[in-house]
Amino acid sequence: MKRPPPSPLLFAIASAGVLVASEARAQNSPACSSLPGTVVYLESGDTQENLLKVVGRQLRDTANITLAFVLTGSCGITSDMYSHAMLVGGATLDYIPSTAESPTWDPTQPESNCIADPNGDPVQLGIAALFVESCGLGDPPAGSNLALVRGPEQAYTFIVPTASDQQAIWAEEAYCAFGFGNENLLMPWDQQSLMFIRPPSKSTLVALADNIGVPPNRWRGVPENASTDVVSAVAFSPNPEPTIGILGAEVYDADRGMGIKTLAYRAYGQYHAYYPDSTATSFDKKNVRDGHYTLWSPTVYITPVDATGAPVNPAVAYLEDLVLGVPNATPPEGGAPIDGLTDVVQVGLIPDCAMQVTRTGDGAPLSLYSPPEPCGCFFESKVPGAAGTPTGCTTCSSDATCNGGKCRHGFCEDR
Amino acid sequence: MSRLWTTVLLAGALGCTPSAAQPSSTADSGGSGPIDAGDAGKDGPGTPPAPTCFTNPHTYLEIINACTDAQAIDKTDDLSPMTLPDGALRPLP
Repeated sequence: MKRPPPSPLLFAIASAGVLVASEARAQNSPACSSLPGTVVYLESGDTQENLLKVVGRQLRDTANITLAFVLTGSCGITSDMYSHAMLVGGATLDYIPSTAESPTWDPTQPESNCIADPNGDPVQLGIAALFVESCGLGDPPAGSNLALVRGPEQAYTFIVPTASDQQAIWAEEAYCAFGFGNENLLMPWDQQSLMFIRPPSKSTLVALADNIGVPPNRWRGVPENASTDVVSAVAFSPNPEPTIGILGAEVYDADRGMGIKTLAYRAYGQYHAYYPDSTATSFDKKNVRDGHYTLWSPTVYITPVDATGAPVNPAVAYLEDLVLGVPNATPPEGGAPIDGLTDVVQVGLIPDCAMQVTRTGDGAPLSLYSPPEPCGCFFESKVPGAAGTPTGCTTCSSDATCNGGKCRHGFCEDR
Repeated sequence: MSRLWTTVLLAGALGCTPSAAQPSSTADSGGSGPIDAGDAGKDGPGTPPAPTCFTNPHTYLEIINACTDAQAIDKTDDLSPMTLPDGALRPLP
């Protein structure tokens, strides 16, 4: 499967994202370097914002770690990391306030702001939400001392206003809608002024592009710079039926009930359309996990590493351990451990250990997958709305009660 | 684009392009007695059971069409305004 060459436009737009942050300098914000504890400077796709908020609050409160970040396009992030780009000097970054600083803050609220060093700050972690190959990049440059770590899986969705009668979209329909725009002869998505997309540097568009077969720079529609802008544009559309948007499922999950609904998706060659979850109202990501919903990509954590392959920054290593669910991950400066894997599940991401299928590229065919240290029961016990022990699962405190299996995250797994 | 056409062609080879065979409405639920599409045609020529879902999936097309109790959504759409005479989707403008 040959991929399209990288688009120069893609990288230009990605770089612009950081510049815009600089121009939007917040008045009266503290210097990021003055924030307490170890400050980790990172760039992330905005689909990961909810995870950063949830984990960032706990890191501030329990591990003396502050996440200071810019939300931008995944392809720009990867390019920045590969080139060792600095955050723009004086740029406005987001950070999560501690409970002591802002007791009433919760993840539904915007982040606080701080100002990057006038000389810029090195990016210590990049979090992209698709395969780097989809950005026209490969492995990190030789000698860059960067490592790519595959993080949780991120599903993507097509959304419509709640008032729309539409329930499903076929891959063929998405191809015609976003590839032809006003020239699409299929109803109802034939007005590109009501098709709310993302710029071609964003993982949401690039990942979906690889699934439906419309190259990123050929999408028709209105590019919105932020996922939240897509939500607003779709939710408040005056003409619901031809309105459609694209969104990360994690973002959708946080905005359910806000005037939008997700469409079931039928891939090329598939008999039926399915939601990411087993029903339109559940949060279990069952269809992503077992392969019935094909619109998903891995998150990729990119960070400088030492000669042993370990992240140079211990705080980054801890954050990676948390989202990967490494047992007994300990804060580098002491403090109470965080249950990062639960955070991952509850914001709508899927840890690799809960997947039953995998893929080698965005839009690439799925194949069966058996994670080396499965956590399916744990996952099902933690999704929003879960209660009690999941069907077919057994709680445990050691391997001894698992009939030859392994006790993982409090549940018996077969290995 | 190559992926798109490869997939469409592959789907066509299995007789499940949107304009061709639409799956039965009983295809998704194990409780409704799905026929294992992996057995399609094994009863001999002329009597192939209609493939509905796969109980023991291995390939990509089997995985995405595996039997499941998840909610499945079906609809009837006519793609012909956007297809070529051979049934393939029009190339992008």
